[in-house]
Amino acid sequence: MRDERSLFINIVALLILSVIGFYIYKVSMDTGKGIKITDNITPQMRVADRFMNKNVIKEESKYVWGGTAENTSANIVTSVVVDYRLFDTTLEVIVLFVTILGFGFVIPKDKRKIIKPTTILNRWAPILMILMLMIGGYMFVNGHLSPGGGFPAGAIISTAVLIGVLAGRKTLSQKTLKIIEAVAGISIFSLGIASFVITGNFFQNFILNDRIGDLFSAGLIPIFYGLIAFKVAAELSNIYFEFYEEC
Amino acid sequence: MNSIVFLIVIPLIAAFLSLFLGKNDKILAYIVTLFNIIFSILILFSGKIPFNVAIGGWRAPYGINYAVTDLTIFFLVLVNVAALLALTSVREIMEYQFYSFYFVLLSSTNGIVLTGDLFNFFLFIELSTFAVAGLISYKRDRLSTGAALKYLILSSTASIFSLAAIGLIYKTLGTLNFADIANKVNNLNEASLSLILILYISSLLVELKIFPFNMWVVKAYEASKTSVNLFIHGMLGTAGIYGVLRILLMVFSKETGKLTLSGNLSSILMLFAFVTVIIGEIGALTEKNMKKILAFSSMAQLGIVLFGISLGSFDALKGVLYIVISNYLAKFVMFLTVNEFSKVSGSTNYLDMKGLGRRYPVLAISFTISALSLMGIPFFAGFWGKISIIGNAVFSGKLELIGAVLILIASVIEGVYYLRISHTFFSQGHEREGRISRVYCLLPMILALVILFIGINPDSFENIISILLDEIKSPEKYIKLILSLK
Amino acid sequence: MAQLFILSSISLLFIGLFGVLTRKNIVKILIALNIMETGINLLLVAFGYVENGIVPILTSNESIMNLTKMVDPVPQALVLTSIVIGLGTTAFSLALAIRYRYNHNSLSIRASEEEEGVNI
Repeated sequence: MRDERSLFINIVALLILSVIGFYIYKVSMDTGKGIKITDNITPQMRVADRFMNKNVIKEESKYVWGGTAENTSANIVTSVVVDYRLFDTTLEVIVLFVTILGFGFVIPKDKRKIIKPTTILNRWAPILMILMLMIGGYMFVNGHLSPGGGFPAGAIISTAVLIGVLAGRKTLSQKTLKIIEAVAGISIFSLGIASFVITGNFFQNFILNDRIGDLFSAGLIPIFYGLIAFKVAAELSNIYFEFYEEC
Repeated sequence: MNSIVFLIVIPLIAAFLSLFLGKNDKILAYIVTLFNIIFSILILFSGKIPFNVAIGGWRAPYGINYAVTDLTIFFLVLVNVAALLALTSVREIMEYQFYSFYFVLLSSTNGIVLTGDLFNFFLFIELSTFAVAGLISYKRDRLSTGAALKYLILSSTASIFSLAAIGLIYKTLGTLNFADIANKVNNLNEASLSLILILYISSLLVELKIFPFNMWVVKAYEASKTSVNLFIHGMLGTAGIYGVLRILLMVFSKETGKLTLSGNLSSILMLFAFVTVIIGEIGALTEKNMKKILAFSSMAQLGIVLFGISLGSFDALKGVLYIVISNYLAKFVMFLTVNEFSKVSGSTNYLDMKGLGRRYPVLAISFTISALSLMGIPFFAGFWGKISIIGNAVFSGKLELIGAVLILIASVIEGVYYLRISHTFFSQGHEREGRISRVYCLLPMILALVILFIGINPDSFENIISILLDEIKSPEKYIKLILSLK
Repeated sequence: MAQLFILSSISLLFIGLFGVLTRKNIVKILIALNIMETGINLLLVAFGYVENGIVPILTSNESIMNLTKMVDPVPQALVLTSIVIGLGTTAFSLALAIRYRYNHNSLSIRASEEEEGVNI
């Protein structure tokens, strides 16, 4: 009975999938007029062109390496993430906040046995932690120059905390994590409101006239990435502590 | 008017603050909700509508923009008032997570209504999904964890489809802005457009409780508290209807000034709406649990709304707006009444509520008024909606005719189960412990009077609707407003 | 090349969808959901791909001359957001799954129906 039913479900699912697949095939082979989904469209025909040329405000403006522009981040993906579409990124931070809050809320708090860490892990943990914290710090400071940024940096920093948890060293209390999380979150939005007070637009960059390629460039981007890194690190560490507290 | 972003930023800051305030969270919730209502009403009367806000100073097709038009402000006020009304049903002390989820839901529903960017819209829908899943699982018992898990899995699967649609839109048209898409959508291939629409609509249909995506509704309503039911119904449902109106009728419509859904999409949507109405009415007829009945009934009402939208004529759209407002008010009355009655009787089965209508006639009469309005009896608000939808559907085609007949049958079924419940309320029952304070009877009474007022005097509401329809009729105004910013 | 990327990511999407539709174990459903999310992320990146493209990062004055060769940065920004959403979904639903196991003593998605004896 049970096998028959699961076979039936599998066949229905395969049918649904094949219908979807056939439909997508038919659409991609369509010969009607207009732009098709299989057409070869270069980034120069999309809004990305203006992002890459950094001329959203003034169409004819040009920039050179070491000069200034409307956005001075050398990493164009970062300039899209944290400047042109900054509001999406702040919402993304809220997504992480809500889900981790829900995680801590629904997970059952029962007793579990703790396994004592070995001496090797216990001795090596602080050294590894320092290295990881350095890499994480480097990543968010350099987010506007090289690949990286706030989210991976936060993940790396939280891994350092995880190693501390595994080694039986409790580095931070959960209350501190909560405060870090809330302060970082509130300051992201306070920066938005500050730019509203200064320039009249929410989330506008108000530190101008820096040079592309410098360490201290790209206006507010390193500040935002630093805040995001701390917030992500605090949230992800919260998950590990959630299990640690149960012991 | 750049300060419109405060409607989203202030609740999000409150979401962080609520981690620390403990018992004062409730006061914070009231303050923030009142701020949102007052702010949106101030914008309504500021006389600057319509206007466009570019966030970060990046102009429209490049950055993210918020557009405030008549349609937006109407739904904005509805969403924020719904938040306040639902908040009045939070009586007991809640944990701080409840308020954090509530604040995120408030800001995300405001954002759904305000935003003018496809990806931003998607993100707000995701945010509201997580907040609602957290609220559903608030009781953390057997029913609520299962319901929250199912809702989360279903809506994340649907959101993956809409992300694919966003990718396709960006690949073909090279933009993510609503106005820019509406401007360029005529260049798009017909078949490609329908593929994109089918993929994108899926996440909206989850919010709208339409057929292939409505397994979560009944369980979620049954498992959660009344305040959470009202959050889902009043805030998420209303914002979802706005999303469908904006995206189907204004962004992806191929001809300006006329409602055209490309290809067979309108008949597919119509079939979905039929199945939803049938499931909703039959489910409600066989159920005894009041919360389940109301869940099935709101499913059926939204099915009628989708049917009206897919009809593709402005008279039907007028009816849709009537049904939206009548369902919005009536469900508030019903949920609040059921909440009070179930507290006295100790169960949500309506057979246990026998005789309560004699003791609390105000509540029971308000319930009956809203039931009559949902059924579409003349001189109640729902009547004007159903009559213009049916009147439009009868002469449009075969499928539409079936829909009209279906809505009539559905009204009869609604009459059977709602009047059965009202009859149970007024029949002889035994004495009970427990009392309902008069204050709690006041709100359902006022809402029921509003339903009566709209039903008897539809001209007062007709003016608002004609303004909204004017906006939907001319999407080129919206495009001009957003794209010609300095 | 771009066709190959798109085909492989669509097949990942289909594998994940098949898993979501047919599996009964919650953990398996969540793994299938993650496969789907990976598929959609690869699909978005593939949409922004340019033949023989380079990374959209400026390193010197020469790279500013090569702007037309760069791949599209916007889909990468979108993917960064969607990865975080995927992480959030997985974390929240795994916590819910632990609570579900705690309440139902089973990880089957139909646990409540099976106990009540309803055969759907």
